[in-house]
Parts: sequence; C-alpha cells; structure tokens
Amino acid sequence: MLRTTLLNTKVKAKVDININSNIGRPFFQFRRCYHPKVIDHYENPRNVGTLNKSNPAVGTGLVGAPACGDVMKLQIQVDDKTGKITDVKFKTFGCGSAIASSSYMSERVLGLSLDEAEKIQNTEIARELSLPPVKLHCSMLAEDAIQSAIRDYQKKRGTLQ
Amino acid sequence: MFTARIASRLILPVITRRSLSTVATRRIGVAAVIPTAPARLMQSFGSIQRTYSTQYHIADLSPEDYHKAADKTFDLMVERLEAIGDEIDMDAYDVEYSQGVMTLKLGEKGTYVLNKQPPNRQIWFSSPKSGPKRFDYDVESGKWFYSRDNHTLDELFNEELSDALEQKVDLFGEEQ
Repeated sequence: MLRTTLLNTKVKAKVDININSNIGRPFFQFRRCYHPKVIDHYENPRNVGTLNKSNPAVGTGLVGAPACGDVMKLQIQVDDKTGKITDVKFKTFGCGSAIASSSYMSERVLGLSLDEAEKIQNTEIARELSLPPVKLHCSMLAEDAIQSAIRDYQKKRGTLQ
Repeated sequence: MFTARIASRLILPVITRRSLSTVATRRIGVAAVIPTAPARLMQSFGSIQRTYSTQYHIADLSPEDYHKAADKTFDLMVERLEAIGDEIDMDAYDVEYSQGVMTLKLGEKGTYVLNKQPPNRQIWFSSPKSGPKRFDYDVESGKWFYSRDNHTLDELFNEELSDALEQKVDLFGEEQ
C-alpha cells in the first residue's frame, strides 16, 4: 500500500511491506514476501545469546559456512539427572529464514529430552514457517545444528555412541 | 579467487540484522568450511530408508573445474526439461534458468529449485517431495552424489520427475 501525505506541498511516501502486486492475491501467491511467522522470528528472535562453552553440561552446535551465507550456533544446557534440555541459546548469521529456523528450533527443543530433540525433522520447521523451496536448506541447517549440539554434549559426557 | 579449502576455526558470529533479501551478500575474509553433523543414512523427508552400495568420493575441485562440471550438468538438465515441457500437456509447467539457479515449476506438484553453490563446490537441490539436499562431485564417475547416503542427482531427479510427470524421465541419459 502506498500512502502519500501532502505536507506543505512536499510529498511524503510511506511504503508498506505489502507491495502493490500483492493486493487481492491469496497469501501463498505473494511475490517476494516473507511469511509473517518468519518476520516475527526475525524481529523478535527467541533465546538469543550464549552459554558458557566450557560448562560440561552445555553442548554447542556450530554449522554452516559464512561463504555460503548461513552460520548457526545453537547451544543447549542439559540437566544431567533428568536428561532434559533446560536452557537454549542461539546465534545466527544469515537470511531471515535462517534466523527464523534457528529461533523456532531453539523454542522447540526447550524442555525436551535429548532423544526427542534429536528426532525433530527439517520438514517440521519448513511447514511451520511456510518456507519457500529455495529456503528449505535453512531448515536443514537448523536440524543439523541441534544434532551437532546434542553430539557435542554427548561427547563431553562420554556417552557418544 | 578461492585457494584450497581451509578448515579453520570460525570466528563466532553475532546475530546481525540482515536485509530482507534472499541473496547472501556478506562475505567474511577467508572461506572457512565448518563440518556439518555426521552422516546419517536416513533421509529426513521421505519415509523410505535407502542405502546405496556405490561409494563415491568428494573431489577437490578447482573453481574452474567445478563451474565447468556444474554448468555442463545444468545445461543438460535445462535442455532436457525444456524438451519435456514441449512434449507434455501441462499448463503450469515452467523451466527457468538464470545466474546459476534453475527453477522448475510443476504446478500443484510443487517447485524444484537447483542452484550452484561455489564455496562448497556443490549443487543444492530443493524438492517438494524429498526436501533439501546438497550434492558433491565425484570426478571418477562424473556424477553428483549426496554424501550422506551416496545416491546421485540423476537417480533422484529422474525418479521424482518420473513420478510427478507419470512418464519415464531421463535427464542425463544418452539422446535417443
């Protein structure tokens, strides 16, 4: 929507995020528009931060490469007695979909046991965030990140199979 | 110009506000490749668990060789897909190839996006059926294969397209 206001003969234009060509289209046909859920995660990312890497209860997963455009660091703090993830922090360098995927993943694994967290598939993230085909790789990277974090924790505890 | 791939420690990234663009524009110093999670044989998307017996090896390609191999593969795919598009009677069928990205629209059956990924010397594949995959190049056989379970791009793509278009599709075989 293009809104214009006349103020002392100066024209001020404000461009909304929904560009003209989207008016009247059903949502799944929007051109070049991020899904509202992705935008929400991008603007209000959950669980951003760092945990102490040297803490034996913390597993750190680091995946991706800056040259490819996406790097994700996902850290989980696991309670030894219950085996559940008590704290999650992430930091991501990349596109909106990558940030949203890792943010959603961090939200999703909080409170789960390691076995449950390991089973989360990239399909779930892609479906939840309505990722377009070209961005499916971001969801795969988020899945790799949690796998990597779990393996790192297990290696530290000596329970890696 | 990329020299040999260097596996070095990554400087920890901070979260950055990226512009809402689908193109990665930021480059940081030297390309560092971080190893991803260890190989698993199960495909994430489909419910079929496959094991493939042929063992392929990731080649250490120079940028020129990579681009030559990838361009050859893409040109062949695009040519065959356009030919198929002329033959079949599907309105929504569309093939587009520009700047190393190939988009194949099959209407309701979904959209395939394949693109070159030069930093990794890979071809990235995104399927509406089986999800995202990354293919490396095996110089001996001249094929692109998925390092986690060793199946090749031609096998997978031919199979999925044959299913989707309900006819035998062979994008990489000899011309008849």
